[in-house]
Amino acid sequence: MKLIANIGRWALPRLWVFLAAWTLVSLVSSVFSGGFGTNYGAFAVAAGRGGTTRLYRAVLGDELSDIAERQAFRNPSGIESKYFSTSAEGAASYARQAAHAFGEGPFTIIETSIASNLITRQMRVTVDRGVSTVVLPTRLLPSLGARTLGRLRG
Amino acid sequence: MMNHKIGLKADAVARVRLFPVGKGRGRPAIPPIRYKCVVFFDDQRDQGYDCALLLDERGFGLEPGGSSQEISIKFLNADLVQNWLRPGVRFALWEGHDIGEAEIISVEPGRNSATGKDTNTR
Repeated sequence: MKLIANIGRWALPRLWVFLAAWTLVSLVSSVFSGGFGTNYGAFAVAAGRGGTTRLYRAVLGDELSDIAERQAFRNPSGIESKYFSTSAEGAASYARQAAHAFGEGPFTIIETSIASNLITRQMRVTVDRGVSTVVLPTRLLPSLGARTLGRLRG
Repeated sequence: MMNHKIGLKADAVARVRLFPVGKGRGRPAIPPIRYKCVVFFDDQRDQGYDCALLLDERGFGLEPGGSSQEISIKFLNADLVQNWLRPGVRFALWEGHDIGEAEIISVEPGRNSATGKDTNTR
């Protein structure tokens, strides 16, 4: 019994040190691998993983009518992707530039959201004056809802 | 709602071709519309530039794997691509991946003037 007690006195403090170190290493490696993983469910949403990402798009009248009718986005035949800004300001910036360069308008800003884990690194790009953009393939569009935020002057 | 649209005077003319099925992962033909997409100059894929290929002016689309076509191009912000607007400069057409390539063959300074049908394909 005395031997067991001695082993316990030696091992217990070291066990706590080992557990504390293991926990610390796990947390640090999770952060550096791109956020907290599903093992830390409470943190996952805060880190954006497993949550949703809001996206914004400036649309013209024909597309706005189509969205209002279908409550979803779609592409014309021959078009394989659709571009969204990651902020309403970005979508408005595109609309202003398109009004100037392409003579288009009026634009309406539409908001949608998508599961964050569906957006890959390859879908992200920065265009023109620093507008952070996500390009989504047509196959993902039917599942996106749409909410009108407001109309810009054209 | 009525769209207010005016036609465009292009910034440049480029020889454009779409990759065949496989290299560009395959895609349907682009119809003869004002086709908007992002392009990249050089090999980087971080900073892109919006543009419109004025296919509507020519009345024909682009077939994947088809022959290259001379297409007028209007950039969303021509000032930002000014350094690349010269004959011989090549760029990639991108829709989440490279779908084609192009080479500028002439530059046409000037701004909006012509007319054309628009579809916001971007």
